[in-house]
Amino acid sequence: MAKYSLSNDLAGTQQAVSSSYKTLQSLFATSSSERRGSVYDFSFGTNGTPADNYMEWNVARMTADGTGSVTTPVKLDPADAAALATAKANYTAEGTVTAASSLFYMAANQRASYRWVAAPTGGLLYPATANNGLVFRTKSGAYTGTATVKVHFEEL
Amino acid sequence: MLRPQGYLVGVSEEGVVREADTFTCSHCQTIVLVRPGAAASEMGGWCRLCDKPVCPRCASGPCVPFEKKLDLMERRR
Repeated sequence: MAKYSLSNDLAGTQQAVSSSYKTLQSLFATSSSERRGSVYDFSFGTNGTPADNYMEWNVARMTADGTGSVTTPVKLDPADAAALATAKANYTAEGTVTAASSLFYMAANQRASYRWVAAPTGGLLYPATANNGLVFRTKSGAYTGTATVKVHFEEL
Repeated sequence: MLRPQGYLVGVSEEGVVREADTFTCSHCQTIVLVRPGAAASEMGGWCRLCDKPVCPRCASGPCVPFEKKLDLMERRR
C-alpha cells in the first residue's frame, strides 16, 4: 500500500489562527476515484513568535469540502503511483465537520508540539466516499499567528 | 499498555518530552490516551462483541465496528 506525506506548507498561504477552528489540512476521497485511506502519523506545531498561549488541536470528520488550496500528496516511495485522494491545506472557508466527531483533541501550550503515530492497523480510516474525510485543525483564544501540521497516510 | 495501537509524543513549552500509549476506539476511531495505572473504565471500556477497546462515549452504546460504518457510508454513495 502506497504511503504519502502532506503538510500545510505545500500549498496556499498559512492562515492566522483564531478563536474558531481553522482547518490546516484536509484529506478525503476524490469523487469518481474513491478509495479508502488510513492516516497513521500526524504532528502539530506552531511557527509564530513564541509566547505562552493555549492552542486546541483537533482531528475530526468532514462530510463536505470548504475552500482550501489543493495539495499534492508527496509519495514516500517515488516509485508509487500518485495518490487518488484529494488533499487541501490552509482553508479560508471551513468545510462541513460532523458534530461530535472529534477523533483527537488536545489543548496545549503554543510552544508545545505533538506527534501521534499509529501501530500497524491502528490508523484513522476515512471512507471511499467523495468529500468524506478527515480535517486537521486548530483554534486559540489568544494566539493569532500561523500553525503547522504534517500528515502521513496510506491508501488501502 | 501491552499492545498499544498508537503512540503520542509531545515536547512541552519547557522542553520536557511527554509520551503516552494510545488506543483507537474500535467503534468510532477516537484516539484515547492511556494513563498508566488508570482503571479501564476511566478510559472507556472493552467491547465484548468485537473484542476491542472502546472510548468512553461508545462504552455504553451498541457494537457497530467502525469498518461496518465505513461499509454503510460507502454503500450510500
